[in-house]
Amino acid sequence: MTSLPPQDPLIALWQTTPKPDTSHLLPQLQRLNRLHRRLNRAVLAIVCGIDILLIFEEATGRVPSHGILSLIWTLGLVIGLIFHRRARCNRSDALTLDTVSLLKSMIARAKSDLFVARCLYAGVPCGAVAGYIVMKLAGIGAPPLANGISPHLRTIQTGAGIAALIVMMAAGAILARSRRLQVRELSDKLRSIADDL
Amino acid sequence: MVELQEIVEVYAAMVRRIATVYERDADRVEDLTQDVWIAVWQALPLLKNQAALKGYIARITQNICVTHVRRALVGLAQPLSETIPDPSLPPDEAMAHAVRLNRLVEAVRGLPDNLKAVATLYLEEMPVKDIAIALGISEGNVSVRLHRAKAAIKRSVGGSS
Repeated sequence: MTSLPPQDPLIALWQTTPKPDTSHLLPQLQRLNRLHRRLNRAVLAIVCGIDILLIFEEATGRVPSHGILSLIWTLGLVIGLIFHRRARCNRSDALTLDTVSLLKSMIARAKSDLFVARCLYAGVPCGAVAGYIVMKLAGIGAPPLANGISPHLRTIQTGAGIAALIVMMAAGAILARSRRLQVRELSDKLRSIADDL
Repeated sequence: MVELQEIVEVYAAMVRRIATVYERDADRVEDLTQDVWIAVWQALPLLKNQAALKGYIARITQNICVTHVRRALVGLAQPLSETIPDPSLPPDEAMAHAVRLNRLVEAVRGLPDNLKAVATLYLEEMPVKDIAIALGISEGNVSVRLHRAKAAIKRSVGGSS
């Protein structure tokens, strides 16, 4: 892989930068790869474990949802796996696309993420309030102290529900902030690179 | 992995040079170069034409660096070369060389994005045609931008000397 010295003095000067130390790079890449695979497996094991638990609870009749909960969870798992696979394929964009097309596809993806984030921080509380109102109006839902459930348990359930809502809204707000920044920066770069002279 | 090791040995300097143009913070330069090498590692089995390897790695690096979004925190300026003077040169000459190199790097960093992308690939000795393919713009466009970039770099390097 030897080549003739470059003609342009700027190129010649540019290429005299000292060689970086790469001794640590390969072990680090292998370590990152291993960690990434381990994390994926752990997440998959947790999600599958919850799915099995739900199926077991429903099969034994302890959760009276007639298989609906486990079906929804399994569907979510399948959709998540499909999205994960698609995201992995999308990562190869940097290898196959030119810079302008890559920027366009990244902006499109960031915009769809921004939409999801807005759904999380705005749609979740609206949906929760709307659901509560509809249930009250329609008279759906368990009556107070139904099935001998203690009021403490009800308070804990309500608290957990509200905490989950707050976490989802916070996650949505953080995601939206980072995606908004991403959309703005990538759009500026695209405008700068793709504009004809 | 042995093959990747050889490739890293040959092209590590190029990847780092391109990354340093887009990111001043040393830690983030490290992150960027890691991202590039992970992508190259994944891409190697797909590469049919080994002769095009340099252009391929340069394009991946360019793509990853251009699409990298700066975090809110802006790193402090750090010179590319952390410029250890070249030990093969006499001390005065080595220092002068390091100064010239730093000026060149700062000049490239100071270019607007559209000129920076073209200039970086040109300095890595990529032909105009390959630069056009890598960036997704016309060859004429590359030539015009290259001309402007060179003029700006020469002005900047000459002006500060």
